[in-house]
Amino acid sequence: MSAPRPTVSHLGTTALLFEAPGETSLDQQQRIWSLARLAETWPEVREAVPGVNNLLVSFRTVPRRFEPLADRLCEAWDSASALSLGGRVIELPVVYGGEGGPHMADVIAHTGLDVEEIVAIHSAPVYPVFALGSHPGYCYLGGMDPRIATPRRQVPVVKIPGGAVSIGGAQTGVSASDGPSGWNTIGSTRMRFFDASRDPPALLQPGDSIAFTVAEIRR
Amino acid sequence: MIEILSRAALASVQDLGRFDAFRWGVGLSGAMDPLALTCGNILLGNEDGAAAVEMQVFPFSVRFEADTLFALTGADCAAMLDGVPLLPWSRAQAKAGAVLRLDHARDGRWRGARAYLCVAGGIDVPEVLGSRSTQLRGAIGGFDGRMLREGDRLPLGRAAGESRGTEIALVPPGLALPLEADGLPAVRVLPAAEYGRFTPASLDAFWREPFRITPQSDRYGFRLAGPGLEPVAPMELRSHGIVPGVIQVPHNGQPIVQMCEGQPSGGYPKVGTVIEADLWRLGQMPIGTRFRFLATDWDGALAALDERQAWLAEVRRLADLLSARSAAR
Amino acid sequence: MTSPLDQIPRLAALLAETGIDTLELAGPEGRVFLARNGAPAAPAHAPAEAAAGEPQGSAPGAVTVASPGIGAFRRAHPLHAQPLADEGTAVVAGQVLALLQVGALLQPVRAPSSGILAAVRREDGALTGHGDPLFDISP
Repeated sequence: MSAPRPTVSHLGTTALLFEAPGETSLDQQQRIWSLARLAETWPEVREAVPGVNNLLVSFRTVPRRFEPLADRLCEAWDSASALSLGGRVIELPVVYGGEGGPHMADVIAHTGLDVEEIVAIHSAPVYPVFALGSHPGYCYLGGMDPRIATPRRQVPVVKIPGGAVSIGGAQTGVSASDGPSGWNTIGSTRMRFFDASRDPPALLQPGDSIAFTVAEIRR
Repeated sequence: MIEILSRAALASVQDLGRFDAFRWGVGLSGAMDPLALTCGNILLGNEDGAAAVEMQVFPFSVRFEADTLFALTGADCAAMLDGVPLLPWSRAQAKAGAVLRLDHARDGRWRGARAYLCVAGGIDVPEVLGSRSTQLRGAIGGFDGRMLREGDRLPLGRAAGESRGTEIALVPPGLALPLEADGLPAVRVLPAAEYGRFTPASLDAFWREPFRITPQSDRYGFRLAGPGLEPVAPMELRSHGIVPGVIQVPHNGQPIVQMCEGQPSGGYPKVGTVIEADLWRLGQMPIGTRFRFLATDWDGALAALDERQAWLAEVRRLADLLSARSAAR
Repeated sequence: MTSPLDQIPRLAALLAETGIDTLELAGPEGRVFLARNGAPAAPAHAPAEAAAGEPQGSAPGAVTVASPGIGAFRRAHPLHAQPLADEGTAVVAGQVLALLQVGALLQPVRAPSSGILAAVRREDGALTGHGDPLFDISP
C-alpha cells in the first residue's frame, strides 16, 4: 500500500500551494519547514511560506510549464527530513470568556463542554508555532485538543481586536491586530506580536511555542 | 510637497506592493490597479513602482506646493487643474500653489473606480519592509500607515532628469485591452484546489451567470452576490497561504474575492483565483458592477500576462519616442 | 519649425513600432513620404493640402490649426462619444480640439487662439502628418 501523495494546486499565476497528505502533525510541519528552506534556493521561487502542514510557493518568474516544478517539489518532499527549529516558549496570560470572548457560547454549544472544561483543555498544551500568516505577526499554532474543535463561523466577523484568542476548526491562534476573522473568539491577551522596525519584525517564528495561562475566567 | 485638501476619503499612498514579507504574515497591499499606477509612472519617466496616491472616493483635491510634473490615470474623474480641464490618462505641469480637483468618476466607454496621482520622483515616504505601500492592518508603510486626511503633506522624491515637454496621454487599457462576456466586463479565473469539490450544477452557474459586487467590498476583498456555490460535502480546511485574486467560498456559498489588502492566509475553500493579469480589471469595477468569470488554463493565464506586458512595452517605447529627449536639438 | 526631413529617423521608428504602413508629411521644405516594406511606394490618392502658415480658411482672417505631430486624427477622446469641440461653437486659446493617436499614445491638438470653430479640415480617423491643416478658427 503506497503512502498518500501530497497535492500541488494553482493560486493563479502568482503562486502554487503544496499540501502534505494525511493528518496534521508536528513531524509533517517540520518536513514542511525543511521543504521551504530548499524551495527558496530555487531561482524561480520568490518566497516559500509555510502554512499548517502546507506550503505556499510564490514565483519570482512565472514558470512557462507548471508540471516540472510541481514534480520537483513532490520529489523534494519525499526526501525531506524533519527540520527541528529550536525556539523559545512564550507564556501568554489569557482572560477567557466575557467581553473578550464573545463566541465562547458557540464553542460550548458545539462541543457540549462547559466553560471550565474548555479553558482547562485549551490552556493545557504547549503549542508549537507552525506558521505565520493571516496578518502581521499572527501565529498558526499546532497541537490543539480536538475535543474543543469548533467550525469556522458561517459569516466572518468584521472586526475582532488584536490579542483575541480564537478557535477555527481544529486550530487555535491569537490575533496580532484588529481585523476581520472567521474564527470563534474565546478570550483575550495582551502582547505585541509585530514591530516593523525590528529585524525580524515578528515576535514569534516557526519553532517557537506558546503556553496559554489562565489569568481569569469571566462569565 | 503636495497637500491633501479633502476630508478623510479612503485615499492612501501605494506602490506596486510589498513582496517578500508574506513570511511575516504581511500581505501585498499596493495599488488595486497596478497597471494604471505603472502607466502614470511611465508617463513621468519614473520607475514603474514609484509610489503614488490612490484615490477611491470623490470629489478629491490636492494642492501642489511647488512646481510639479504629475500624471493622472485610472478612473476618468473630469480632473481640473486650477479650473482647467485635464485629459484623462495624461501628464501635466502644475505651478506652485495650483489645486488639482477630481470629481466623481464619469461614465464613458470604460468606467473605473480608483484614480492614481503619480508625481515625478514619486511620493517619498519611507520604505517599510521593502515597499512604500500602506498596509492598514499592521499600520505599516505609506503615510503613517493610514488613510490620508485633510492637511496631510506628502513629500515628493527628486525627479529623474528634466521635465518632459511633449504633451502626451494614453489610451486607457480598459479600452485597449477589452475583456467581456455577453456584454458584461469579465475576468479570467484559474481553478484552485477545492474546485472539484463543489457540485457540477453550482460550478456551471458560477461560469455562466453574472456576479454583482456588493457594498461590503473594499481593498480587503469583494463580497459578491450571485449563484451560490454548493460543496459536495462540508469542508473544513487547514490554514494555508493565499494570494490576491483567490475566490473563497464561506459557508453561505457567496464568493469573496481576496483583493490586494486581503490577508496572506486563510482557511475557506477556494474555487479559483482571478489571474494576476486581470486583477486590475476587478480593482477598477465600482460597487454594483455586474461581471462574469471566465475559465482559463495555465497557458491562457500566461498569454494574458504576455499580452499585458506587450502593451506596456508599446507604451514605454512610444512614450520614449515622443518625449522631449528625442525632439531636443 | 521642424522640417519633415529632420523627423525621418523618429518617424521610421514610429512606423516600425505601430501598425502604420505609410506616412506622408508636408512642410515648407517639401513633402516626405515613408512606406514600410511592401507598402505602395507612392501615395495612391491626391496629396494632402498645403502646410500650415498659409491661411486657407473659408472665411478671411481665419486661423488654421495645423497638426502638431503625426497620427490618426480623433475628434473625440476614446472614452467619450462627444467630440472635444463642435463645429460652430466657441473655443478658447489652449483648449483641446482633437487628439492625434499613434497606437496607445494620444497627443492633444490645442487651439492657438480663441474664436469660433469654423471648419474641420480632416476626417475623423484620417492619418495626419505634421503641419496638415486640421481646423479653421474664425475670430
